Amino acid sequence: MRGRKLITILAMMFACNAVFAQQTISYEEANAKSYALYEKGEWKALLQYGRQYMAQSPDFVLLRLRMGYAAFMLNNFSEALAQYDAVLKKDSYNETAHYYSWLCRKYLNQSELADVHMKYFSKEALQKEKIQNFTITKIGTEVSYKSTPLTARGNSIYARMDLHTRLHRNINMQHGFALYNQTIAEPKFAAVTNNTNIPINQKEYYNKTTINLNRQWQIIGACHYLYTPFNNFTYNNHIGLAGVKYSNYYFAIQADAVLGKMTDTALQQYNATLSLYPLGNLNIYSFSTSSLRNRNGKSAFNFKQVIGFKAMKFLWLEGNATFGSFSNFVENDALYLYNAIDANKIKAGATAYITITSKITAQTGYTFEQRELYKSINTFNQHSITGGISCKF
Amino acid sequence: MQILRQTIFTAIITLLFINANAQNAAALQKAFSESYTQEYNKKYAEAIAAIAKVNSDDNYETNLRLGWLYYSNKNYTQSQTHYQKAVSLKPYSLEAKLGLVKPLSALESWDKVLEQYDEILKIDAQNYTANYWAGVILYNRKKYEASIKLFEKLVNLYPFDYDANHMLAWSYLNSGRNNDAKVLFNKALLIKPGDASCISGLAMIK
Repeated sequence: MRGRKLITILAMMFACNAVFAQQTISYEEANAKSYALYEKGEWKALLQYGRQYMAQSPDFVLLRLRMGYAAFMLNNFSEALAQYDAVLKKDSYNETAHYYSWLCRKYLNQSELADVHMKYFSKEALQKEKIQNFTITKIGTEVSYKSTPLTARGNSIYARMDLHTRLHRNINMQHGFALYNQTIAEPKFAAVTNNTNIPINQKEYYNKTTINLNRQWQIIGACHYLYTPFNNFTYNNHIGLAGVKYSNYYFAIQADAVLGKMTDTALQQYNATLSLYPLGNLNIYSFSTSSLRNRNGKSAFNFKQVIGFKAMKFLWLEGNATFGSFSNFVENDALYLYNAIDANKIKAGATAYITITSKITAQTGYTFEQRELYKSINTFNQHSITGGISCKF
Repeated sequence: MQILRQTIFTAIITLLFINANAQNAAALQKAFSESYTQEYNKKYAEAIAAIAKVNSDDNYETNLRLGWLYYSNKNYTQSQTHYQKAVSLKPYSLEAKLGLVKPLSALESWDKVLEQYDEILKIDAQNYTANYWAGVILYNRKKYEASIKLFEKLVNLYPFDYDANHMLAWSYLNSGRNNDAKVLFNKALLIKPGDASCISGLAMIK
């Protein structure tokens, strides 16, 4: 008897579930409810309701727009991008979706990709945001002081000035002018005259061009020229980089190849970078880069990991480490070239980014490097302090 | 005897089939009739229920009717689903495509609306509705050269049509063809004297 009761209860429960499962929300109800939640500013509930509706019924533009705005207000820019992208699949000219997608990309620090949306802005929006097709978008400077305990490796200074320009809404170009000064002594360089006093006054020019192909894909091209005097020797180093980048909502992948000549020797390097934004914003982010290098017939592998987080409203902290020893190594889209004669064994550091105003950001950092003295097994440590400031327009 | 038995059996089967078809046709007619009555009384849910009873995925007429009824009941997503089925069942049906445009427009899926108009124009290049509204969408997207092509076609087909002349005038104006725009604004004013939009267009030329 008890068994029969149990079966009856279970059967009723199953029947109730079946009834609830079959209840579908109509378009009219979804439209009205999502609008009500939007009006009340109940962003989390709106996102949840939208997902629930879309699990059983086709989506529609207004719902996606509201969900996009809800995610935007919750600072989940990746989620907002996903919602606005769904709008653009139905209405590729939707100005609201383009405008907020542009903002989301900016807040994910993907300013160049953001510009792909500018085409769809009204004159009023362009004026409001003071956007021009051809303009200087950012200037910046970075200075680094590196010290070593070795007298044979003098302390060095690296200074760079950057100029970022927008040539077209889909073409951005960065120029960098850098100086690197260090005096070294290396008696093992028999062919170098006065090898106990080799002042290296290196001059560099860097150019990086990014072309937006569409809302997700970009082509990256970069070149880096270094003029490296070495007493009676002078090296003209050339590095070229070509790559593609795919930016989804919560991640981006980049693959690039570097070819060039450093210290009169051909070099090839192949990089793959994965960028992650697990919370859909810059509250936590990660960049992982795997690099395979080939120089003088020798291959080597390196892995670089950067993890950053928002510590305070105006402060981001970032840690980085490069695993695997290296020399003649290319980093950050060929912006940094490690062409010192002493190979790196360990490299790790931390950087703080401070937002002074909405347009001005300062940075300060420390890097520790353990290096192997040229043609020996002895190591020495190098400590670098970096400071910088950039201004967006 | 064997032949006679087979003949009787075949006759019975045929009669049953004819009867079933007749019953189906009667059920469909009844359902459609009931849906018209309910629709006339603005009881769209009841009208939908009447058709839903006899609907099947491969029935063009019921899906087309449900597309319209769901649209009238402001359930645009369901309307889109049924019109889409009707379009798939009869790919050359203009009425199904023009029907599908209605919920798509209500849902602001403008890319899909434009896609449908393109499909219509492939079948019927002179179609007024498709030419005009595709032209309006392209005009709103600032694709003036593309919209001019469609509006010019309409002005040639309907030289004394206000909408076609008016939109072609604005398209000309925005693409810098001020003299052409002026002629057309003035012509549109003959059809609709005192029209504010045409007057403001002419003011921009001066």
